[in-house]
Amino acid sequence: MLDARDLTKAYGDVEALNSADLTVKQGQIVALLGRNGAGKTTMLSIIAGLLQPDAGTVRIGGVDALGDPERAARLLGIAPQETGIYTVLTVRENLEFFGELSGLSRNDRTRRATEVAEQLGLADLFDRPGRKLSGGEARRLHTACALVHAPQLLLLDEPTVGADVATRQHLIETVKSMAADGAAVVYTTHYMPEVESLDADIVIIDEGRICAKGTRAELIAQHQMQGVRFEFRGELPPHLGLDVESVAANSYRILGDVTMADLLDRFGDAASQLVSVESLAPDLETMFLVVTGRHIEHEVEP
Amino acid sequence: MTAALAVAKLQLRILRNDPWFLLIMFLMPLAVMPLFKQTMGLSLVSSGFSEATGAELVVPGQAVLFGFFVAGSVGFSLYREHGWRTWDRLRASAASSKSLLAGFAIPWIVIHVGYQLVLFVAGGMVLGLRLNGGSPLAALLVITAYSACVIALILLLSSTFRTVNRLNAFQNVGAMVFGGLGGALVPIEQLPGWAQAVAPATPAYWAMRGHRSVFLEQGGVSDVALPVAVMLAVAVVFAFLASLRFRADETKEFFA
Repeated sequence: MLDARDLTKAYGDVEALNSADLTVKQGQIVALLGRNGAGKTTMLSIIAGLLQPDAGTVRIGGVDALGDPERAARLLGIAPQETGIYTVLTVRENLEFFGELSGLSRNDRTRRATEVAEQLGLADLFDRPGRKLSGGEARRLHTACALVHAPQLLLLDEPTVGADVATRQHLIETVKSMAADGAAVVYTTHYMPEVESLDADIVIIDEGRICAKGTRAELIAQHQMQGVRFEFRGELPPHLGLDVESVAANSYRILGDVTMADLLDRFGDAASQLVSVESLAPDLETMFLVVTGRHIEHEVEP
Repeated sequence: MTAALAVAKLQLRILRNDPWFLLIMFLMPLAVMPLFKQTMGLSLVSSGFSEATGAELVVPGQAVLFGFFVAGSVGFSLYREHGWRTWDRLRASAASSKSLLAGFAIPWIVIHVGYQLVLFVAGGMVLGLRLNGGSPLAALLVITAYSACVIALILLLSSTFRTVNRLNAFQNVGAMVFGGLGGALVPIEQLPGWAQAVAPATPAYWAMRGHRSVFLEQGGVSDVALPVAVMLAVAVVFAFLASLRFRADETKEFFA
């Protein structure tokens, strides 16, 4: 459904994307993971026709999206990162407007507005103006506006930022349902449990490059995840005999068959300078750390 | 076309849900009109219109002056989309830049014409404005041409200015300067010679010239043909330039 190849984009000297590829099949959910500034939003913006790449190609449902953006736009729905709704219009008016903008007939947009509102828990708020919605409700409406024309390709840029637990749940269920109905979904997030809940395939992007892609199981199998991470005050003892990698100031990791007990033994008296030690478990967080060498940022949980 | 219609209906829906701006823009000139009537009447009598009451210039003058403020709304509605973060959603739809621009412009021309008509009727009732043999069709043509002209001017400015503050400043100063030079505040013949010389460069001058023909000189359609033609020609040029200059991917700043 989506076939983006060699996407390259620079803002002056800053390389936002460097020959990045992204392919998504019908019914597939792809979680695009990356730190802030990694290139996720740039990639989605290019796919949605909001930004011109310096190089590369985008095909959506076989349509050349860069050559025929209007035709490609009919196939996609995007919920950008920042909430964008008409606060002076009601929930129903917002949904019906975006349906009409996409060319839905009056009957179709009324039906779809009702369906999407029910899916996202907005049915009771149908006649409430956007300005009277809570942050979570506005976020749901923001996403609902991208779904109302039942797009074949859905791009969701951090849809749950600032959302409450109920909103997250509604969004995840809705995305899974759309994928089950055949839509291809690209979903960016910083929140790893969402990726697991979506059972999404994963693409990791860092500094504009795609670093890894595959299913969760494949990526965990591909990348050695065992090891320890520690913070140490002062200079490391010279004779640890381990392959220590510096990941940040005073922060190190050792990948491989090493346990916390081994580490403490090897440090000996210098162990008193250890600030923290943690085991690296084979989860998505660790996998992200292994692939990019950095932790993904965590938003504050609501 | 479908997208342009959807955006056009959106403008009307937003206005219906939040009509206060237009309501204020209607009440303000109505409140101001009586203050100017006597002075304008004396000016007109001294200019040789012995039967004039002042309403013949006060009502059109305030419609032209406040019409410039109301025309700014088409620009504000464009910038507002950026403030609401909905602009990218419009761009990501199948709508072309030109259909989006048309979707904003067309309803505002209709609203602008309606606004002036209501102001003429209400102002006429309050101040006793009469056509006195002038053609209502001629008045409608002048009103429509003025609406097209100032809406196109605001679209051109909106496609040029990055921030809404610049448009706001231009609209406020422009309304007073253009209105003053064009004869919306005092009869044109009472302006200094240099002002009379530059007055034809303003849309207000041509609108007031047309209204004077209708309300003071019993003019018909042929009498307003020149001012209407000038305003429509300028509207076409401004709209063309706006469509060339308008870039949908340009980031605009709404009020911070």
